[in-house]
Amino acid sequence: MSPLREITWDDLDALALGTGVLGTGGGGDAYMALLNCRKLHRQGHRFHLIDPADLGDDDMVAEIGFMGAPLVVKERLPDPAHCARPVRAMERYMGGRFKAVMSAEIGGENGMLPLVVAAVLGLPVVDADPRGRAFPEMQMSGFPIQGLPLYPVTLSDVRANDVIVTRSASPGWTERMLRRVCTEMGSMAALCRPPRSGKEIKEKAILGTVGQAIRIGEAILGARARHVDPVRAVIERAGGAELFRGKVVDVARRATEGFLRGTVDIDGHDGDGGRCYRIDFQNEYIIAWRDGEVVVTVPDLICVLDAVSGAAIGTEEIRYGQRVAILSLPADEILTSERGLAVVGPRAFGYDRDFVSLHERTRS
Amino acid sequence: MTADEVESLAIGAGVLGTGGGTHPYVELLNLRKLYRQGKPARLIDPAALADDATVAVVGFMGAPLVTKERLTDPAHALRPVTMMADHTGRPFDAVMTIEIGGENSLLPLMVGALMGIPVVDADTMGRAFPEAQMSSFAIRGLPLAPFAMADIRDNRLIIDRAASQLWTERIGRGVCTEMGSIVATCSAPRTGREVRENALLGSIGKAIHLGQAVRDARQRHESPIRAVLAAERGLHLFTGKVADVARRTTQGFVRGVAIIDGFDEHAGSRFSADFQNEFTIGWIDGDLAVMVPDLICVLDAVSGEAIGTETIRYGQRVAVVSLPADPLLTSDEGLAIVGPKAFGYDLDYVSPHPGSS
Repeated sequence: MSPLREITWDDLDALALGTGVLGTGGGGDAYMALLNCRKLHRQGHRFHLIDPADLGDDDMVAEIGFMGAPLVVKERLPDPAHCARPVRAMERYMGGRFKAVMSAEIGGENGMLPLVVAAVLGLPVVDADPRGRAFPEMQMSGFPIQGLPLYPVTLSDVRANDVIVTRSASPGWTERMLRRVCTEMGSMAALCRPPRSGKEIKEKAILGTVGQAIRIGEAILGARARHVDPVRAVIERAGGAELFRGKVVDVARRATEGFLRGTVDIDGHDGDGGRCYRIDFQNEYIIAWRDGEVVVTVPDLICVLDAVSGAAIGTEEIRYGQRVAILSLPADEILTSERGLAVVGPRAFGYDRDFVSLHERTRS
Repeated sequence: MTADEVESLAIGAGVLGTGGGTHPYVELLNLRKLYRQGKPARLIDPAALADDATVAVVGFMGAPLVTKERLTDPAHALRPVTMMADHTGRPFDAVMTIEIGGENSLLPLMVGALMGIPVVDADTMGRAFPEAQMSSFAIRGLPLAPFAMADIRDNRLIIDRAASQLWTERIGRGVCTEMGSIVATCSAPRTGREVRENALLGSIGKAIHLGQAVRDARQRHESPIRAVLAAERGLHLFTGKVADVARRTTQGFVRGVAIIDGFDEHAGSRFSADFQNEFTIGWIDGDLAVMVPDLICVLDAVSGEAIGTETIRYGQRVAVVSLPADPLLTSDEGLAIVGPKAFGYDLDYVSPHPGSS
């Protein structure tokens, strides 16, 4: 087994930036988790990344994340002990111990949360996740797409409430039950999703996504230091396409059914002058139109970045007057497979249209 | 328990349901079938439970109206009990109901018949209440969690720990509504000793006795209302015709008000009763007449059959009867959880029953 790679103090900043980009508008701002990580680091905790290849086939891994409205996390700061509670509850339920933790989604705050939990529990973080981005609903994940059941799941609130879904009729039912519980609990809860074996992760997760997020963040930080365009640096690192540059001219946003939904309008400038973009969101950006024509849809990543700093702009903070660049990054092929599109394609979000992508893929 | 006793229990439980759930007809059909299959229910006196016996505490949660469309299935009722035994790693020695009133009275009989374990002659309410924490166990400070829930599909959820009994209700109610407003539940296992010290004992025997009295009166062409009053030291508050019902289903409950215009000795008077699944408060001509936790039972004036808050309707001729609540419920600790304030009324408990207030 090769040695664990340490996630350094500098890596933390890069990871926070990179998870923001991969959050595709949602997943929550990683800033609070970053503060938690820095504090833990100052207290002497260290964060370690484990290559999935170094997991034993039978090693059990805790897949963790926050559920709820990202806005609530801005008021009620995440507490490391709270985040670790569903992991302990899962260990009691399954009667075993975890060897490592893994993010339920690399995008946004959930991309950094495993570090917090890992530090509290003294475990390494697996360099992988099942989404390669962020999605608003629990069943929108590579593991359910590939047929793994979405139970048992444990969920804890900031009080002393712990809930276990021991079985569900479908992955969608797990989402439906826990969304309701989460809303009752104040729209913020920490989750531990079904335990995954090392073998399942090696075969079914999207590998290397934590390292990828750190490298995207490094690219942004490097470009800033050299006073070059950070947006270009992201594209060079992540292999996406730049779609548009413009100014936000309108945002319609409403909090409904535990989600943040709405529309953003962006008018072009520079080379895009005279054109306009519209993007719909449900926590994450879902679908983008240029002058009324659909250009990109889920599951491809639609990233809205600050045109100057390169930092990602979330759906809960995007506002009039911001100067932005719109990027599209390719989704993993697990998500763009036929089974994937049924769960995370445009129709799963209520749009009666086919997946549209700007990226070349080898069709399987 | 003989098949005949089960018939009486169903009638008595309807009366003790105090409007929440009525005569548990569908559950009775299930039990008749189980008896025909040679799976009878057996009753055990709480005094005969070993101190460390493990008792399952079961109940349906949700809107009684839903069970009229989606018929009760004994295998469904059994599921949370199996979940709880798996979760705690301890098999159950006996089963009891959370409430003797309405459909939940027969639930432990189905579970007991299927599992081959006895039904404890006790409950935690001595009547029916709308919320999970309104129980003698909660009044005595025992936690409701772990709390297992199963719906009619294949969804199973356990509230492993809860910040309070009220949080168990709050989370459980939300999940229950998502699941279609009917779920089978099994709350925290109790030892034989806990049951003896904190449950309301003898409730099933009492309901059988009450139901038997109603049946005897019918057979002798006597007033079943008088039989109920005699069996339970009840008070006859009002007789009249239902003049108006305002009913709405909100937050997983059926809420509203029923208005009854008097006849015979109550001609010219008006009785009105608020309800949240169960009848909560009754007024005669605007004056408070009766309130929780005392039982407010609206009975068919002729048959003595209980009328539920979801079935009460214009034109029914009814007798309104109050039965005294168990002293545990009218204690200070009890009133904090099941008194009028717990239902949102800024009223102090007063009772028409001698010695209760």
